[in-house]
Amino acid sequence: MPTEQYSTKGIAIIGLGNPLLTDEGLGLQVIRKLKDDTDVPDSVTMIEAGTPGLSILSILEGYSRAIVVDIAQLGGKPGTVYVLSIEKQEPKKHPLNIGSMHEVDFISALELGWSAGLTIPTQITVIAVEPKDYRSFGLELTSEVSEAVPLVVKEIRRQLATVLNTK
Amino acid sequence: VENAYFQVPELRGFEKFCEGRPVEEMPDITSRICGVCPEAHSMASTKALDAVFSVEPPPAAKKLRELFYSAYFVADHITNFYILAAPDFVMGPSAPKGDRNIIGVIGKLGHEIASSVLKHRSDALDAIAMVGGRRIHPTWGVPGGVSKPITEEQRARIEKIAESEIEFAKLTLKLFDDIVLSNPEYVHLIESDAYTTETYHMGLVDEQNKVNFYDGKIRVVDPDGNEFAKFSGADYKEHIAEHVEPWTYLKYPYLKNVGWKGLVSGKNSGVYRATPLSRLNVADGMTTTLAQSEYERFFRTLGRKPVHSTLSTHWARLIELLHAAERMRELSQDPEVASRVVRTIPSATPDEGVGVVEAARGTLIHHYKTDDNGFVKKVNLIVATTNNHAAISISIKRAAQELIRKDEVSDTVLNKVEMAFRAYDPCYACATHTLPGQMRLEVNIYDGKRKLVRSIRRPQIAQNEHFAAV
Repeated sequence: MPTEQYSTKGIAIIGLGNPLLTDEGLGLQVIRKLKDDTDVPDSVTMIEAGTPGLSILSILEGYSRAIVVDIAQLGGKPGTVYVLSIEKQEPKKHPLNIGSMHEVDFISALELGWSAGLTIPTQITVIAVEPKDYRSFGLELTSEVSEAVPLVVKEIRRQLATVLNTK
Repeated sequence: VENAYFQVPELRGFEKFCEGRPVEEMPDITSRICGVCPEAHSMASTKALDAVFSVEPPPAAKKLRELFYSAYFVADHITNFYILAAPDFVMGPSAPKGDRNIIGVIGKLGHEIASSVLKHRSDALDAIAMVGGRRIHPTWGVPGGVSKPITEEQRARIEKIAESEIEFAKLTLKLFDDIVLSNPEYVHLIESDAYTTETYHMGLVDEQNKVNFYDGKIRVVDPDGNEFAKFSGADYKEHIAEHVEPWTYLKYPYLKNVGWKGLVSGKNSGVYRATPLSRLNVADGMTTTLAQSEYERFFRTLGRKPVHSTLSTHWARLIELLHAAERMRELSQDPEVASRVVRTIPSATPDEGVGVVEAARGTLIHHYKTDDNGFVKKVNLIVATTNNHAAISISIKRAAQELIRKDEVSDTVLNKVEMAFRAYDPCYACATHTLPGQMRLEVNIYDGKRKLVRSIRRPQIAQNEHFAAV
């Protein structure tokens, strides 16, 4: 799959999540669906990143903009679609050091990338869906989250249109 | 402190999920367990498939797998040292909580080192992508070999990356020397009783008993360093048994031929460790020149073999980093890695197979049984953290007993207890085969009458504090 590694960098749409854990598979399913669409511009790279941990940095490196698709437990009804924005900011003094490499989450990875001066996007749009079940092993999304997939795709297209028009 | 228990309150269920699936899917499925060492799972799984289908990969495929695997070790060990270990040593175990993390380390060592860390990690991932098809969750391992060769151009690029990784490994060892080994306080800490756990050690070795991450026999040495056992992965059940406790989901593997004596160390207890430190302890040396000389210096400095000091695991990891980078260069310079013959097509009826590799954190065993059509009937995984489960518990207890006085559990003391745990870099997502995600560490302190007197939860980074709705 060399297209993922060697594309000319522009906008990246990144699917995060674990495809084995029911609704955790959302990000990857959305990317697969987008890859089947023929009208996504060539300047957009679609990446099934899975659960990259710190490696998200080498995925993001060189892109000017990124849209990340994942689930997020923010307390809404399962299937609720959220659009969030992560902005670069000065690193906070976190009151902990990690016990294991397995604790490096998305935000911590970004902070590290920004602190180290990597050329990663300074603004990342996250399109997230409230999960119903992300603990059971299963390859299918729950019906609530599955019904949100077209909405997520529509939102990605809307975001892309905005970014591409303002370029 | 009378006792300290380390509980893992997760649920199991991964093995059940795999049953009934085509066995060829296992490298992909198991590499999805978590994002930290997908390469290790995919490799153990691919080797188990070789055994299930009774097929021998061609030499180029074995070399490509090992090349890929060396790049994985480079990426993992670099990150592990700088992100996980460095905050305790660069900032100091007693530094304020808010500074004792990678951001603090960058502040102290400078941005240059941070970008160098990320660059060398990223380059190793590039090598992984060139060989295995993609950076994360690669799926090119198939029974009998790999699904694609590399080009001469890719081989040359990997060779160049390897050169740079060797230099970076040397620089990292120098940093360890300057910061840790030149500081008598740290040397004392490393050698102190609080961080010493005398156990058996386990790891893979080649035919000359040299460290090997990808293949070989499992060698076990006793706490005095004498060879206790040496066996093929396929025979693991004759040597390793698993003890179950009702209060934790995670099993305790132990050496069957010594026996389970509880969570105790020493020669009469079957508790063993399978860590970077263990790999150096069980071997007679390294196959590459620079790593061999570091290996000799390691045992000379610490004055004994085997070394039982848990914190030396960090140093051992850096020697392995150098070895992995050197091995990466060796393999990339072998013209055979660019061969087009990378697979033997299996023809035997699938049945059963075991695949063993050294994951960055320790020995990793995958064992599958299938029906005649290759559908999974049974899966057993023993991952590095599970191998080390009993030893981790003992190390925590020892550190708690030596470091906690009365019921004074200050942040510094708690961090020092955590350092015993951190040296193993445990992975409970894959050990319990459940949800990857943030580990929540909760410390409960009970008095002599088993009454809970204090509960300390390690605060978590609030996931949403950076989100602003747009």
